[in-house]
Amino acid sequence: MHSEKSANPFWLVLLTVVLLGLLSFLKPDLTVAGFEVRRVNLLSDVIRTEPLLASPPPAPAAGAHPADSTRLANNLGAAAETKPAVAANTLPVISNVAGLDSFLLALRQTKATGQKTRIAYFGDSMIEGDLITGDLRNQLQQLFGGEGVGFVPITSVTADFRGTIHQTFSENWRKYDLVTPKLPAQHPLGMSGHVFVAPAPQPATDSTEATKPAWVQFAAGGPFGPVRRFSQARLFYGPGNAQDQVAVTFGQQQSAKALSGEGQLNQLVFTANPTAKNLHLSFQTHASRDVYGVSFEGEQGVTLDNFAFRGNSGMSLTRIPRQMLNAFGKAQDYRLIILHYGVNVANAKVENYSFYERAMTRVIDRLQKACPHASILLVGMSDKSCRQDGEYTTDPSVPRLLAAQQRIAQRNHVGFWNLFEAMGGENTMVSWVEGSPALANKDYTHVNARGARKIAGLLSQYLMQEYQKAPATAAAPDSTAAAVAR
Amino acid sequence: MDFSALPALDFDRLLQQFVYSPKSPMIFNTGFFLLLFLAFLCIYQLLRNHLRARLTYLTLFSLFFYYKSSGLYFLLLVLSTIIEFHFGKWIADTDSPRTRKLLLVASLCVNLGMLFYFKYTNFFIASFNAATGSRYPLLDIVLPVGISFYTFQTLSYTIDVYKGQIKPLRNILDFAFFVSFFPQLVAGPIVRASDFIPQIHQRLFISRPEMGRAVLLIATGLFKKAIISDYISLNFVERIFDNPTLYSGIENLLGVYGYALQIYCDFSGYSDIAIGIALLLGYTLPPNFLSPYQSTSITEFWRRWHISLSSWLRDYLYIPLGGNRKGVVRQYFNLFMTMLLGGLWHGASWQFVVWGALHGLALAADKLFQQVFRPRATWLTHALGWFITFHFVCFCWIFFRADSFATATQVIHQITHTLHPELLPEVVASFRAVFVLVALGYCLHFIPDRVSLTMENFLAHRSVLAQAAVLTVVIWLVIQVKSADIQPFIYFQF
Repeated sequence: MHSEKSANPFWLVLLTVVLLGLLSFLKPDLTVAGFEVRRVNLLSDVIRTEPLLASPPPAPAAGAHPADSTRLANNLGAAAETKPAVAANTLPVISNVAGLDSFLLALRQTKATGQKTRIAYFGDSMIEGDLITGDLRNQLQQLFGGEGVGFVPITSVTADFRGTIHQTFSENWRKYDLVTPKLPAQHPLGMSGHVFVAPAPQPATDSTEATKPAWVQFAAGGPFGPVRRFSQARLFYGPGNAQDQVAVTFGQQQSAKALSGEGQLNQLVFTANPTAKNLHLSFQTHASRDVYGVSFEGEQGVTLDNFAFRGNSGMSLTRIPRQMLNAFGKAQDYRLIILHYGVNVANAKVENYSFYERAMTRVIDRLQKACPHASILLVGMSDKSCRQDGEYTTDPSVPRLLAAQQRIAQRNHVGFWNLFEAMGGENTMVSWVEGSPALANKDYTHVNARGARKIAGLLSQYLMQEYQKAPATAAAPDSTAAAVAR
Repeated sequence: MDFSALPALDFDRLLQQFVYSPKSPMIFNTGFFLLLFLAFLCIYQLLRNHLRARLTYLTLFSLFFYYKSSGLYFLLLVLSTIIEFHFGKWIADTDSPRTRKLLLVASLCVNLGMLFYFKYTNFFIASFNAATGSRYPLLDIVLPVGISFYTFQTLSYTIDVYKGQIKPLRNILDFAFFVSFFPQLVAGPIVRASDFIPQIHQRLFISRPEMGRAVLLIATGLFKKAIISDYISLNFVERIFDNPTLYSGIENLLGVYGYALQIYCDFSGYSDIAIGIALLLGYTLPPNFLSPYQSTSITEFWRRWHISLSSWLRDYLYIPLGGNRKGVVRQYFNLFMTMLLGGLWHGASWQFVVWGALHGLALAADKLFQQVFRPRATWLTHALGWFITFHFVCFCWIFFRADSFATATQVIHQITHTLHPELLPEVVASFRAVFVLVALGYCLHFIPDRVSLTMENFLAHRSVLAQAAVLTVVIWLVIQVKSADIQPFIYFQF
């Protein structure tokens, strides 16, 4: 044993480094069997470029002027070319577009007379579970009055996640929505992008039980719901058998109401006196019956409806039939429609978003016609990261999509708010994910409840800034009017 | 070959790498460490026949390593070294039992006081506030990296000296070498003075089998830590634990299984790399994990999981508490308390306390069960024991991982109330890469020990070039995984 020579690990490590060095000469973007081989960039891994490029150290060493280090970084060739951060830093800020006159006018009236201002907030998974919208609603209701969480669809995949109202429902609702491959014409989608069908009763046979009525129950409050009681609820449903009834338990009060009305969209209004903690609705139907949802609100002030649909790009909103959209528009008289999409559209491989611009123009057109008194505000996409050489940076698709979103707003004479800039611009998502406490999730795309609260604060700040600008006179050209006239 | 892409070296940025940066602590799976280690080894090998110079050099490097991870807190490490060195000496040089005890208590106060101040002050303030409704402000305390490990290491030294089990070191440089030895400094294994001190003055000799073992440990360690653990955590597990209610029960369940693998791969992988690097420096550290999920009882689990900690807790907490020498009731109580405090050692929050308490209760229950029923060992009891143990451990991980009790309850609620097992094929198909790695991780975990021994032998008899090639392949894979795209969010309509 002792005659044996000791192994020398130096050679082991040296050879490893040499072999890795050789691998770094492999052609970049090599693809083997569909698998994109990432480049071995030993030096980029060793000499981390990110901290100096993204944010120069607060006290640079003598002689290392921040500008110099940027120049040096650019001289690094390979390292700089794989970092879009450098180029993106110089991107011009994509500015906001005004266009909220009609909404701001309504808000002023609300402030003066208490008259209702209703907001529809459409979005994707970013606003699921009343994230962002819940906080925005709370803030606006504090400023302008109002209560209730607005429109709530009958069932939801995120019912357990929602922190502003608690919702349970029977299993026997049939559901069609924006992603149903073939939509039956007899069950048109509602404004939220869903329709829920209470089943037709089947008599009991030997093997099956009789159909139980479909039901839904709402409980007020939740970790993020400041209002822990309901005062008024409005049920929205489609036409059907005149003998259909809904059994209502609103707090202590119980009643049965006929589901009357022949229109495409009908509503029943329930008021609780005193206010109630729970609402239970049980649908005794004689044939299948479309039901859309329940809106919880007060007599005056601001009401904000959350229309979240996960995975949505916004483009599929055209699947909601025009007539139904118009019926909701008439029933609700929205004063502001917010469209908050982007994370499901942005894709690093897509350079041109003109398809998106065309599709969203159609969406805006339909919404504007259905809600002629509403201002429309496009919320630009939030920051989203991708990985480059193991470092997280803003996805290159983000500025491209933001520019497209701004163009959509300009061409359609609607408002645009650049959320990406408001939250801090480039690489904000990285700091939100890695911050303590974290404001976003580890997919580097979705914000968490804390991040959502921050975004809601930024948005309400923007709306209030617009509100506080000199009041528009009634004669001033309204972006809404322009859009409708077009 | 594309030579134009050769980057020019930027010395400012190179120097930056040597300065403490909280955002990039020194960890083994970085390219910078690889190059630094190469430069370090070059001189270390040149000094192989100059013991004092070699030890001093390694100690200085260790201090630099610690400075890179903790900034000025490396002074704390130096201070702790000086104090404990002298306590050890004074205890050994004192004859009076009273004074010896006093010195020991003083040493414990300093050591544990330091740990408590940095790790638990805010925890106790917050708990006090929550319990009494008072509003004492939290202090602005940063937890120095590795403090939980090196305080335990110096504690074991002083206690062993007190018990007369080891002779104190007479040269403070030797002691500093033991305390600061960089491979295990920041994340274990917790090395016992009695295991390590005899090795300090040994001639630097690395046998072929040791080299083979080091290569295997580093390669598998990197694979576990930087490929399996990092990938599944980022692309699946973290998301589930961030928002459990957004996912069906089956996804939550897979998230829990995933986390069990993630924490094992992360922790044992890092330990393995540390042990491998120590071997390359000529020092043998005890194994820290022995395929813990193969255990068929919770008692066995704790003999296989984080062994350096569990044996430390046994020798310096459970046995001093009375162990099994003070009657059955006391024994169960001691087991429970040891695990509860062991839980708190992992982090200053009540979730860790609950985690430790659950394990303590389970250990006591297991002991009782074995004593009362004395089950015969058949394949059925084995299989049943494994199933129960694994799932109990997974259940406890929920509390270990969840950032609050609310999150932990949500995970459990989703699993028990919205399981939707029919989504399983869809979930697995959508996160294919994640589940391939999870399956691979569990398969590797159940490989019998003799297979790894064969591989060690195989590697031991290969040329150094072949050994380097093995490491290169693994590092190349790490780079691929590290720069792979993030798996996008996928929703299942449940």
